[in-house]
Amino acid sequence: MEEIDVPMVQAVVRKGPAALVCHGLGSCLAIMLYDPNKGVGGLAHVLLPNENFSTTKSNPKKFADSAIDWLIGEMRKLGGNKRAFKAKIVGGATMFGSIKNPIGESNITYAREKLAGEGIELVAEDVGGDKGRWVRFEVDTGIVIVKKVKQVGFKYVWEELAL
Amino acid sequence: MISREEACLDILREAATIGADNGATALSELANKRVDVDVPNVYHARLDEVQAIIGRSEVVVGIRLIFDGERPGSFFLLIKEEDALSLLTMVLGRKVERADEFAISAILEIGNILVGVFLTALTKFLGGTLRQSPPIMKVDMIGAMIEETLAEYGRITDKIWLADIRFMIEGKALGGRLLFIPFFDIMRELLGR
Repeated sequence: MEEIDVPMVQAVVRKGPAALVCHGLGSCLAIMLYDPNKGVGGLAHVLLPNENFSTTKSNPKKFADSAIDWLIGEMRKLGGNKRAFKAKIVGGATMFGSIKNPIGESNITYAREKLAGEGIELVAEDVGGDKGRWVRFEVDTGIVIVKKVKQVGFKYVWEELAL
Repeated sequence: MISREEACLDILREAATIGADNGATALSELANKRVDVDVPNVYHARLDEVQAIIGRSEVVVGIRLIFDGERPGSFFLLIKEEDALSLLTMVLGRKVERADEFAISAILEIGNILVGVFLTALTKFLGGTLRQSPPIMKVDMIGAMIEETLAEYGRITDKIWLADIRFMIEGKALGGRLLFIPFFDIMRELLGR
């Protein structure tokens, strides 16, 4: 199966078997949309909640709400039917301790609101907390695998979960 | 004819070299071993390129220090677990095999000292005052650890300045590096000289 990395502030859509991977989500949010009937799906690796959070706004994939618009548009071009779209979100951690208004939390809130506003069902999520995430999303089945590091002193083990 | 981008990278490289040289001296005194440092690699990287440069899902001991003042920015000290233990063994003068509270405290202090001397050198080079925050440690994927910092920078830019500094202890790579990510306007530094 084709495996594609999606780095931060980028987004990818595909039709047919393909796996989209984010290799190190911290405060960023991986927003995944898929049409289970048409085998079309996409992942956006967003940095900020919306364009009001930045003075540089030229890249819609940088922000949760405009990235969702982008995903919807591109998935429709590939034959997806928006009324069938489902969503999963992963990420939005706060890695280095309590700060006021952590950006990870805002990413989660804005993504949830945008999805609700678009009438897209959020079927699963693994968000928040203080751990980084590795995520793999199969666009045709919607299957999501999340791996996290469990720290033991300087050592670690991987914890895996499926959404 | 050198471009402004090139000139800014030169300034960053110069500043990072001065900081790194001081860091190497401090590390050498701590570890009681010879410490060398290569000329730092400097980048003006797009946000989507940063993780490819720095690291993605590699799991390391990461220590973050942020600094404030006229020229704010962040440091990340990223070391593989076994190298963190070797470093502590050298510094503490006894075999360190696990990260107990004392070892964790010691590695935080090493980060503190390294960044402290770097910043002292930086303020001598560029002027002004800088205040350092307490170091925080995490064991996690490199890519994940830097995202919050990149989000902060992402509020005003789509490209970040980055210096990647590698230390060698007795000729062997530390198995880790110090990332210096200035948040200040290097262009202004350039024009001010």
